[in-house]
Amino acid sequence: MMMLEEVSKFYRGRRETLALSSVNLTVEDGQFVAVVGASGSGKSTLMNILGLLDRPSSGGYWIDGQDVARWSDARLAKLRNRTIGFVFQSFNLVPTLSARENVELPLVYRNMPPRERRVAAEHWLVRLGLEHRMEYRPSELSGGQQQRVALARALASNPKILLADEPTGNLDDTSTRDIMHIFEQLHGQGQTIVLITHDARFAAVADRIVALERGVLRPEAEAASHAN
Amino acid sequence: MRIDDLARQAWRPLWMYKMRTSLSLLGILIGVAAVIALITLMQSASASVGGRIQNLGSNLIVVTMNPLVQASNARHDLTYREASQLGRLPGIALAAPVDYETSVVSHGRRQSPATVYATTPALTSVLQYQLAYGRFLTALDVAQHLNVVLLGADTSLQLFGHTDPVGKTVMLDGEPDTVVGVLAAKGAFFSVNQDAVAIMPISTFRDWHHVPQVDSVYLRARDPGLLQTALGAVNRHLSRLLTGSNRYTILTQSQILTLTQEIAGLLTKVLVGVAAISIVVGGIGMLNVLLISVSERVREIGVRKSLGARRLDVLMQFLLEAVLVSFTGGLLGVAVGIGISVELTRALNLEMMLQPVVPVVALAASVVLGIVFGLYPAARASRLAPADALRFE
Ligand SMILES: Nc1ncnc2c1ncn2[C@@H]1O[C@H](COP(=O)(O)OP(=O)(O)O)[C@@H](O)[C@H]1O
Ligand SMILES: [Mg+2]
Repeated sequence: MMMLEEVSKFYRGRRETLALSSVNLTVEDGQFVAVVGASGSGKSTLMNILGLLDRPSSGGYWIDGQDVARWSDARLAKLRNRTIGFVFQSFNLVPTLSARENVELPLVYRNMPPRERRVAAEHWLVRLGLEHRMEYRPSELSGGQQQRVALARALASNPKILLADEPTGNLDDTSTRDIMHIFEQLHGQGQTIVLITHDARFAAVADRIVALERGVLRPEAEAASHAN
Repeated sequence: MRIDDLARQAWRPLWMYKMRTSLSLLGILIGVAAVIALITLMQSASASVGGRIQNLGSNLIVVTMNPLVQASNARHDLTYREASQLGRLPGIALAAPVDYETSVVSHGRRQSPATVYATTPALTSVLQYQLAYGRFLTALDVAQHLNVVLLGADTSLQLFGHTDPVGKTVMLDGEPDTVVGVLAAKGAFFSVNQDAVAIMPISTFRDWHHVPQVDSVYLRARDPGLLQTALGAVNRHLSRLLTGSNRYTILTQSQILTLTQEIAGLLTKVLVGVAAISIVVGGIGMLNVLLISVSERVREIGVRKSLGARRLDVLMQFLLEAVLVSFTGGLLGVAVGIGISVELTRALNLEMMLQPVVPVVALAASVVLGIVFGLYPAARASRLAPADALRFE
């Protein structure tokens, strides 16, 4: 279970921006939560904080009852590695590594022996229909294939939570439907998911929809009606 | 991270971005090669000069008569008989008075410029020449004022090729002289070719040139240990014989050696400075490449961190990349530097002197530079919050 309590995030730049304002959010295990909102409303900021990629300026964050807001960078890295899988809008594959090596990367940072992690990586690549693309580099793959590699990489570490920031933002309709279908399947198998999306059809697949508006998290009933 | 994985993650980008990798390799290579070639060249040159001075024997003493500055009644000259008598002083084995002249020796239409030594038979022993053909000068040649000459190896080669010229006649200062012997080659001493010489009896020389005094006296101490005794005796004898001050200068072989070593030492310092600069320039070239490489890859660093890489994992990866490049570059630089040294010393006709410590230190320096210059950009990039690194364009 993930719990944000009164989380705010300021960015100091040329102008000070309040990207998140006193956000309270609880995600139960097995839940599929969609986050919607206009561009610049703070969705990526929320995901970075949920994914331990950035720290809140104030407020508390608990994962399974542990107060992670004050953990050291090294401890957070380990927690990210074990519990969180990311999918980004721009795929974010390592360009010098093959599809298989990309999928193995979280397991490399977990010190898993090469043979075991190869098995895990190949399992997910096959499951996502990439059995003939395992040794391709990202530059040799289509957008939809790259996003499936990224998804395989997020899942290979067997994360408690899958965090996806507009995963279909750069994809055509066919690939978008593929990814949506995979998310539905994963949810059906009990995977906890937080999905950020612009796409109302995709958000509708979730158990629960929340909306961000200029850094404020809107009540869920309103959000649901907003998405429909 | 496992060590084999670390190596693989560091190696992959080096292999993928070959152009960038070659450029940084080249920077280090040039620096290291320059250092090794310069230092080897310097050491070979100074060893060779030192060796040639040593060849003269460590018991050589040269007394040079100073030119007369103003007319005076002071006694300032030495006759060649007086000069020869210096050989009887304690500690001295041999003494050879010498008059010099630069002239041209000719045979038929062939000519050869040569330093003419007008002297006594002792000179060839003092300077430790060996014979290639014929004989040295004898006391009889001097006593009878004979028109005979000993030729240096180069002089003989120019006039007679590889044939034995003993018994042939050469022209020197308009006078015919019979060749009685040829000296074995000795090589250059500084820029003075010791093989472009003609040695003739001082008595014969003085029949043509009416000079009152000898230019210098070459002395050989009996034993290097007796050098100080010999020097004292020569000084006392000459100051009794000659009135007036500052009439002569005494130089020993060890003084010449010290002087050349000082010059060589100074040159080495200058060259080591030049070498250090070139290694730093190579290092800065590499830093430049690494900085570009790291800033291009900030997003990748963010991705790796999002997958659970710790700061140390990122740091180690970039550090290992830098060390691989600088070590390989350094190794290639050592090979190229040694290659250049071999060619240069061959072209300059020097015996190559390469102390093993030179390539080892150059290689170590390039690796240290790799660590220093690799650590900085890597440390900077690894400190970014993953969210900031991921947003980097
Ligand atoms: N690193 C940053 N520095 C300064 N401002 C930022 C930074 N990241 C995001 N912002 C600002 O915070 C607000 C929310 O951004 P973001 O969370 O990326 O929104 P979204 O993902 O919903 O488009 C925006 O106004 C954005 O300009
Ligand atoms: Mg966003």
